[in-house]
Amino acid sequence: MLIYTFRRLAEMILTLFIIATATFFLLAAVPGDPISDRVEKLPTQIRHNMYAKYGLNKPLLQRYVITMKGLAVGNFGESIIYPGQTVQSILHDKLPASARLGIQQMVLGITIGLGLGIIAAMKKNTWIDYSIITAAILLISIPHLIFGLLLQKMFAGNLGWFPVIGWPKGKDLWTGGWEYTILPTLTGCFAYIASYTRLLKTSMLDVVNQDYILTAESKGISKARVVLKHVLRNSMIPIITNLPMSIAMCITGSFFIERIFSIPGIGMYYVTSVNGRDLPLIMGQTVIISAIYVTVIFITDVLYTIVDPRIQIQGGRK
Amino acid sequence: MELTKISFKKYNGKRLNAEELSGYSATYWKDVWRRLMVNPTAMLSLAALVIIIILVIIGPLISGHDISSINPRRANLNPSLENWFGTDNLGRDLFTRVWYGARASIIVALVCTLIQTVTGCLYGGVMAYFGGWVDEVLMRIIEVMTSMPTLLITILTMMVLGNGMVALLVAMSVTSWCGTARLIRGQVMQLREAEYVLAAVALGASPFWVILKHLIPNTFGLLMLTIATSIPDYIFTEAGLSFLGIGLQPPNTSLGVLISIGQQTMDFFPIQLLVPGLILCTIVLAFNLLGDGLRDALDPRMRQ
Amino acid sequence: MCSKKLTATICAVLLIITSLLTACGSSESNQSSGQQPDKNQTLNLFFESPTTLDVNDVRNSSEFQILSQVQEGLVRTYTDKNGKEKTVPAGAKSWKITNGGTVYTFKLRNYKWSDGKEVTAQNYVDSVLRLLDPKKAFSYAFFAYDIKNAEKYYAGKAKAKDVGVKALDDKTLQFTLEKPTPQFNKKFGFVALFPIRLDVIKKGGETYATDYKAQVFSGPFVIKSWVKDNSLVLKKNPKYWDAKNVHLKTVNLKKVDETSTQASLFQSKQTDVIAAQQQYIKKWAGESKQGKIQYIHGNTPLTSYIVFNQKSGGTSGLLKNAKIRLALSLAINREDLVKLVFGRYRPAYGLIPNGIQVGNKDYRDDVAQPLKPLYDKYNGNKSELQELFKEGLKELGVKKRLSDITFTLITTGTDALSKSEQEYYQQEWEKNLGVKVKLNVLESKLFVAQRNANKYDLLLNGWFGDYNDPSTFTDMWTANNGFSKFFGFYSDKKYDAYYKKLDGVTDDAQREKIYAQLEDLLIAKDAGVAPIYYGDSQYFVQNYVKNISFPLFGTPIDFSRAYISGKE
Repeated sequence: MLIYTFRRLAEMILTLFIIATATFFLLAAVPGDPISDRVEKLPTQIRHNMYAKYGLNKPLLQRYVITMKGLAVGNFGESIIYPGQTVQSILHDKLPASARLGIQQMVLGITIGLGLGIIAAMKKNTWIDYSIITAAILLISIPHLIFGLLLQKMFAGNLGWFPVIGWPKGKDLWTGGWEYTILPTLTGCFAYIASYTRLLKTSMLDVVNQDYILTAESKGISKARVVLKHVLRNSMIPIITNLPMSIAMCITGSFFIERIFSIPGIGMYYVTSVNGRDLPLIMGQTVIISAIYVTVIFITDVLYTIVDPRIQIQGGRK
Repeated sequence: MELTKISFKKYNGKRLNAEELSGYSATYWKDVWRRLMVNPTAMLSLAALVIIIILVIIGPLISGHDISSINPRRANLNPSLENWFGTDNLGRDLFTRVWYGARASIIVALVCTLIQTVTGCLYGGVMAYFGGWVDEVLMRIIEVMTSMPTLLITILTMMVLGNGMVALLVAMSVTSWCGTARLIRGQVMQLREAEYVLAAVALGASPFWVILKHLIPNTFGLLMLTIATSIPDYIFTEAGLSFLGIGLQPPNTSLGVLISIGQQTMDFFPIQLLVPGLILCTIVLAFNLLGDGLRDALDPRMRQ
Repeated sequence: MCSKKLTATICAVLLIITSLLTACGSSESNQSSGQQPDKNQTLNLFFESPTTLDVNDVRNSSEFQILSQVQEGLVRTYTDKNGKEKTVPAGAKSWKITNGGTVYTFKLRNYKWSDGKEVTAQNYVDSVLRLLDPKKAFSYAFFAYDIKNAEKYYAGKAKAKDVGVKALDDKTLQFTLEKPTPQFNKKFGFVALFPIRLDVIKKGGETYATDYKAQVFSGPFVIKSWVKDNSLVLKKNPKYWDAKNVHLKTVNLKKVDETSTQASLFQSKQTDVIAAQQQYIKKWAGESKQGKIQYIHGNTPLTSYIVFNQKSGGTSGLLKNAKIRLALSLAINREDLVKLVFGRYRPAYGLIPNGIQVGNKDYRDDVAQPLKPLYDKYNGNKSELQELFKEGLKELGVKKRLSDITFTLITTGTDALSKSEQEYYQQEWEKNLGVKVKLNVLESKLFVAQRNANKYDLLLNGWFGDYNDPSTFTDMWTANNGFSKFFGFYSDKKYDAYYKKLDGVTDDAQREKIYAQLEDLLIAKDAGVAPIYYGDSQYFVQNYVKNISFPLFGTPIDFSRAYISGKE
């Protein structure tokens, strides 16, 4: 297990290296640089000085080496569009809001989703099953943007139950100001509810038909116990496969929800920096988001082996 | 129903022939279709989709208006006999534009889903079946692709390839197949240990044959579910990109473009948001419900 | 300057404060209208988040908006109820101009930074030198080029001590210019020249520019908190020299992207000022007539253009011909455009927008728009327009049917409104001229690449004036001008000749005549560019907000002397 962990760690670093390299050259392939439209109206001298300031006058490969050296020691560099802003300071400012929003949506959505999934699977082909699935499907058939705007108009605008826009800050950053978070969380959580309800239901029905369940039932174990002990546990594989995606989704932020409710999250920032070719910011954010993601995958793979012993760790034992 | 004596008839044929005693025999697909037919939600969705697809094809033709003619005198009208869904801010017929936009949205979603499914299945199947270093390398590629934020790849792809339908299709499906591949891999890894696969291999079946004939059909349920959620996802992604201003160029339009325009004036002319919004929701809902029904029908283990 | 999206980029401008420096009275007393300020003095506004708080590094109106309210430069500009501008001394108490207009000597007021230190003339000198520091590469560095040796210093050919800016004593600041430059009158109040504190900048270190806690302030307000790209809170600065006339205690600025969200915030009085678009203007203008809200509207020194590629004639190769250009220009019904698409703005048939003055007179009041008579003559008549176009084709010797001709229009606007605008042009040309038009909407950097590679026929652009004189709209059309590439490389020897005639002319009437000639040549005779609409400003303000200003140049809103009355 220890060798396996080390190997995976090395692989993770390799993956991140490839990602950074790919991002760098992908950006280089796109026409335009971070300051092209800012400098083009300026006198030649100013333009030269600006290119020199950001090192943009150096050859591509040399810039690549400089960038990668910086990444290696965790120095992503200063933003070109936002002077004095480093990747660290931006993540520090923006990540909490996005993360809280994402986590709230995910926790609420997955909890409800799994609950409904169990009910739907157990009441298979009854009106309960149909209405759960249909309701879940109906709610995800409305685009976020419209759904968010409608919620905002109804509950914040007309009824005045919640603030129209805003997000808790200061000491309320993580645990206070719930009234601000309710509508954005609601807007986003249905996606989780719907997908996890359906996923668990499908998976459970698959498992229910397996022989070992039949065996368990025929041994006279109570239905609840069979479901809890055998069916649920074995139904978790697709759920776990899906979790990393959900977590990654929840980190990068919900662009439209942040936009509608003016939430100071990272979603919008990312789009801005990509449009501005703000290389240090894009590289930094990409690498950090990817690092989180890769870590999540690693944990998932370990979890796999715990949930389903049939999958063996390759290279783990010799 | 009460069973009486008349309910039964005496069997006075030959002796029972065990071979002939099998019930109604159907192929797998016939069976699927039969089971789908009895699912009311699925049939309703299918009907809705058929109607929508017909309208998407003929809608722009039967309205008597074209999609781009601007008529300053007829801007922002309510639905009438002349313009069934009213007109937009440039006086263009909304009925025509909505079906035209729906056409683009559906085509984009279908093509992307096709790319995603085919690539994902082959990739995932190969990965799981071979295992070992093949799996390692392929997994690394997926890891890189999926670890990079999708939005970044999508926007950059659009920038490199330029604007247009092809660029849009590539940009939207460039990372999405990874999820499918992963799912298939997980599923196949589970199935790989199953006795019938072992049996097939033992009987000398080629790897390709095993993937195609045994593994993929057995993961169909999950796959159908992926497809069912993918189509609406793509319709949404396209709409989202329209909001960011990435995607189809005018005069081409899509439901996303129409919604983003309608949303601007929703306080004054809600119909301009409502119509494309409702059609988008209907399409998505129908695909979702149909997918759900299909899943039930396709899965042999659901047989009762 | 050239970008039509005012918020878009740096290219938003060299905004120079238009100042009528003759008016040197003290700022208006707020209580003059007899209304008593409320107890709760909080103002709520929308804003675009600034990218920096470094005054030397300003880029566009989002920075001007904040910095003009938290720092104090030499002068401050307000507008009155009729939109008339008035510049009053702020950081400077008085000044005199000597040596034939080359030496400006300012007496500074006794005022303090928020940390208690006195603002000195040296703070101003430091600011100018830092702005010109070649290593800093600030984009507005050239703004100080009027000052003696400034340009040389920036190019590394002169020393800092040679630059014509000196602190004669703690409270006396002196600028020496390269040569008499009347525009400098309109420049010295600019944000990039505001005083700075080198010690604070040094202490602030790398994140100084975006860390509000590292800043000291000299203006009416200080920054209380700032969530980047989201919201900013200002508090009254008790140490401000004119604090008794600053009534607002708190100003909340929020970034809200969706129009409908903005509208519901304004209607529920959670926001006090809104810049309105489309249908909302009509709706709220109606409410303002009933006295429910204030409607403050006026000119904006902006003209929007369709630019013709006259370098290569475009991808179609046809645009070197004036008749073809004129046909394209006349084929667009501007009245319908502004009404249908924007619900605001004024149709443009000339180069110079309303509100720009020659001397003290509005240029547009005197000079008729040159394209208007031609437009009225053709009046959207398809066959005549096509005839004009075909004449152009004949002149070029091109034998093509109209339906075989395709023009490519490139642009950057990706929002719903811009899409409508683009489709409108496309339709007008296809309908009236029978040609085909391909739209290519590009992200801004791709747009620049495409434009520089000459891969276009037509492009959408605009010009935001720098100062209040027609020359700010006529300067960039001369041949081999640095701006040529933004405007399709228009060039005409006649234009250059007329332009030369301006040299040394000081008489306003004569200048106006020359401007009119230039305009007529460019817009009508050469059809070198198609003007489409003039900008305007459309603000709606809650009734309880008093004494708020919307200057033509510089910050969009000046609320430093505004107050709340009658909200409770």
